[in-house]
Amino acid sequence: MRYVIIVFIIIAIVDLSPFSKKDKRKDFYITLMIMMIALALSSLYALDIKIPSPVVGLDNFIRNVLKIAYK
Amino acid sequence: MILDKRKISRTQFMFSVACFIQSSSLLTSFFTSITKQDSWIAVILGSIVSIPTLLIYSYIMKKFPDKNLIEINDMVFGPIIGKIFSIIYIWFFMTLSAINTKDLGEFVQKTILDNTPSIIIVGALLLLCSWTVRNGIEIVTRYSLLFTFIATTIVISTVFLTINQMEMDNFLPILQQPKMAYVRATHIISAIPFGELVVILMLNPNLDIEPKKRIKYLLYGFLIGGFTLLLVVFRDIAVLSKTIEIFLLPSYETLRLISVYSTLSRVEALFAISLIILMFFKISVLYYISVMGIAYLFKMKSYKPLVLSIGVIIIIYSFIVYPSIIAHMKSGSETAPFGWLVVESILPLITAIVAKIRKLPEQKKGMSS
Amino acid sequence: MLFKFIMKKIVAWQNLNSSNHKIDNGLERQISNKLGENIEFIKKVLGGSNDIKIHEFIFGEEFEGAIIYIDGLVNNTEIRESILKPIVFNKKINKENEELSIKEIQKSIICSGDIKRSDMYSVLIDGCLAGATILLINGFRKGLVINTGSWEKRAITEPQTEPVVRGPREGFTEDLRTNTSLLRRRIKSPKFKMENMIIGRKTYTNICIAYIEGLAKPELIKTLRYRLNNLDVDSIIDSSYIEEYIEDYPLSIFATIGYSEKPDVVAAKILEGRVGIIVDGSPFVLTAPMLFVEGFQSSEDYYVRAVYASILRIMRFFAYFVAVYAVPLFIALTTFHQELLPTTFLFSIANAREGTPFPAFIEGLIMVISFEILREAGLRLPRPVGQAISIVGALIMGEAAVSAGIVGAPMVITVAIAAVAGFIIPDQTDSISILRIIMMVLATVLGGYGLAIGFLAVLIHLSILEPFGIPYFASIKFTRDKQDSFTRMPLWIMKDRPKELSATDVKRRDTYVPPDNKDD
Repeated sequence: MRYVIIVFIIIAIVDLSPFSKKDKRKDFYITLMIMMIALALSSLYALDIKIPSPVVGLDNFIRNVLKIAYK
Repeated sequence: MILDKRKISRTQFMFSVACFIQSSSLLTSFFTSITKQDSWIAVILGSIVSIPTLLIYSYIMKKFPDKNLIEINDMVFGPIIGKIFSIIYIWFFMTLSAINTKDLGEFVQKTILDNTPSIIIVGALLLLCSWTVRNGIEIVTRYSLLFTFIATTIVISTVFLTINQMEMDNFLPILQQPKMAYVRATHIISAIPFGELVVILMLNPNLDIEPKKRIKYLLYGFLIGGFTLLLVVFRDIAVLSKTIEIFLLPSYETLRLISVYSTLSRVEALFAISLIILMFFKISVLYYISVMGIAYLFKMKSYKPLVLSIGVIIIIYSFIVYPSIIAHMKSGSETAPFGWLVVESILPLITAIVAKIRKLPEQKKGMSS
Repeated sequence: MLFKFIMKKIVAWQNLNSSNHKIDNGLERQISNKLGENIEFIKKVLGGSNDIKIHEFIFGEEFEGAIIYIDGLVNNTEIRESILKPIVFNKKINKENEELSIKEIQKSIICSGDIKRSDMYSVLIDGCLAGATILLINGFRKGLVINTGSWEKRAITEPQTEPVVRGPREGFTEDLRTNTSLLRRRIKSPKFKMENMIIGRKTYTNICIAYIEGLAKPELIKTLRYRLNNLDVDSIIDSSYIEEYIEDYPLSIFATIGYSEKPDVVAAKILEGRVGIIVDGSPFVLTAPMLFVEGFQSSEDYYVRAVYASILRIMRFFAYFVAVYAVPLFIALTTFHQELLPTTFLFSIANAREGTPFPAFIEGLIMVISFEILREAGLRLPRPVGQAISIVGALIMGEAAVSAGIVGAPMVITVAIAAVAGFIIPDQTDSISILRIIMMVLATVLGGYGLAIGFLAVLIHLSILEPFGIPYFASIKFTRDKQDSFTRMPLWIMKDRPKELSATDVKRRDTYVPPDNKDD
């Protein structure tokens, strides 16, 4: 978990510092949003919480709902 | 609005396509486990089946020569439906990046570094890729020629090195598999290595080629890549025969068998080298495209601040994408071809048809009200 | 890009701190018409330096004159013969018209080709310091700056750094004029231009940009000129000062500005569309931009037969690879991938390493660092002692370290091979040394995978470099002069100049009579 925090502090310094001067509000919020998603995902992973995989969901959907999978 | 103004030349484009296909040619077990010694037929059929898809891509590229997929979606389907389609594409690109990252990470961990945690292996690679991606598409594709050259040299030289192990009887019996197996393998080949070429629609505005000639270089690249894939499959079948179906990495097993008078052996390191290099290329392209997709989706002014965050997302995604390698294999050979088919062929086909019906793009901007 | 960002910050911060304060030394003023005042002033400015000679004399009937020069920088005979004698023995001078008279002195009395007339102290004193003689005459508001410069200089000798078996043996010297003449003698085209400028608030160093008009890219010349003109520093001692101030990537481990001590090399580079920068006081002439392949091209490649030269080229690339990767590869193989080694070889390595106490990385680091120390010692010491050092280092220390069991013999062999391979490419020695240590660390941490990552990282770094807008590592793309990178094609095949370097005049040769085919 502490590695996650260290990595994200570095990412924030590298990616957010250019916004300090220029007036690009929108870009700043989007970057912050994506960074928060990344932080949330990596925290969950670091804390050993299982994150559902969208690909497995898609597999199940094709296999069980559409029923067109090769066997 | 073009975020990355650097252009890529025709050679770079051609060999990027080739390199992209070659990078999949190392992981052939999805279809070799199905058609066994007839896999080479599946490769040929798969290439033929993929050509219409390529024609759809080149139609879109010709119609919208300076727009990428996300912008095309917005133009063709309007802002709301276009955004939905774009999100599907971005999810697809990120999934591909994650799967390829996972493939490489697992390969390296299994064969080269036993005791290193996979986050370090994958992290080092993605850090390198993020550096490349930040510098733009020209840097990403600059070495496509070199990488193709290295990979092709390795493939051709290993063909000569394994010539003493080859037996033409291994191809027999021909065409004795159930008919459904051919259909299935063809489908897998056209979806997994060849259909992934949908990514070139994202590189569209950066191509320094006349719109009409893009199809030519696309096909050349496709031929180089397809030919290498065919050669690899030929070699593996000739050496491994029917046992090809049980291996996860047939090429790796083939190279392990190389032994010329016991002086030249242990050549599987070559496989590792070409896998790392080609996968680096493929992951860089996919990573770049994911970043670009998101930057265009939100109409940002620069894509660079997104690079590292998306890299972290790809790493985490690569850990969770499949719970096990069995699930990966099962998905790759059973369900994924259908899912991918929608993104790779059907969505571009719809795009092309809708663009044709709506007579997009308008020829002159002044004329349209 | 992070480096670039930090560099930008540093530069901006520095420029903020050093507000533009030009030293006003009181020289920007007109001279008076009283000779005494002028001499007083110049004495005050130049101080009591004992090499300043002020010689006052009287000529005509009541004219008082003075010549001022710096002893050692001027040719005394020339002063006597072409300035003093004509003035003193001339009876025509009258006092009626000031302007006419000083002009007349300049035009019809003094026998020298390079005379400037000025009424500013700054011009006079600068000229004097650069080796000219100042002539001042009482009653005139103008002084003459007569170029009489002549000083002791080293003769043209064979350069120590780039010896050749076949090819010209002349080398540049420390004198700017000699160097420009060496170049001019090789390129006699009227389009060969040399622009002079003076840089250095304290050293007033003469600098000359040499290029061929219409052949070098105008943007390149413009950028160079802009950077040099806006360079306001204290001192320029050697051309490497200039290199460091004008290069594009000061923090990269690869040099983007080349240098040579041989006029034939510099002339050939200028003829390819590069720009030469000659700095007074330095026998090394800079050529910009330098591309990656240039490190692997030696002047002799073009003087020996093409096939042999091509083999040498390929060997150099191979040697570069060996120099960087031999030690890391050995570390990776022995720590991570023992299964890749042939069994007998593995046994002998295991035997040799049995008694050594350190892991392979530490062992390699000890050897590599002691090699670098020995190399440095051999370079810096006077030559006879330097040889003794190499013998002590190579033979005694290496042998002793092995037999004492501190390092294994295979590691010593590997380091020695890498070191010798590195000597083949003198231009890249510094990048090799740094890369070798980085790769060793990567090999220790991630084994062969780390080496692949490092290799790719170097490739990416190389592709990012674009000195003066020209791709540094383009030859891998086969767009820049494919005939002259990994191989050296015969001269008659190399019809065109490198396309990315030259502007308009691309053709290198037009006609050529191929040998008759006798079999017909």
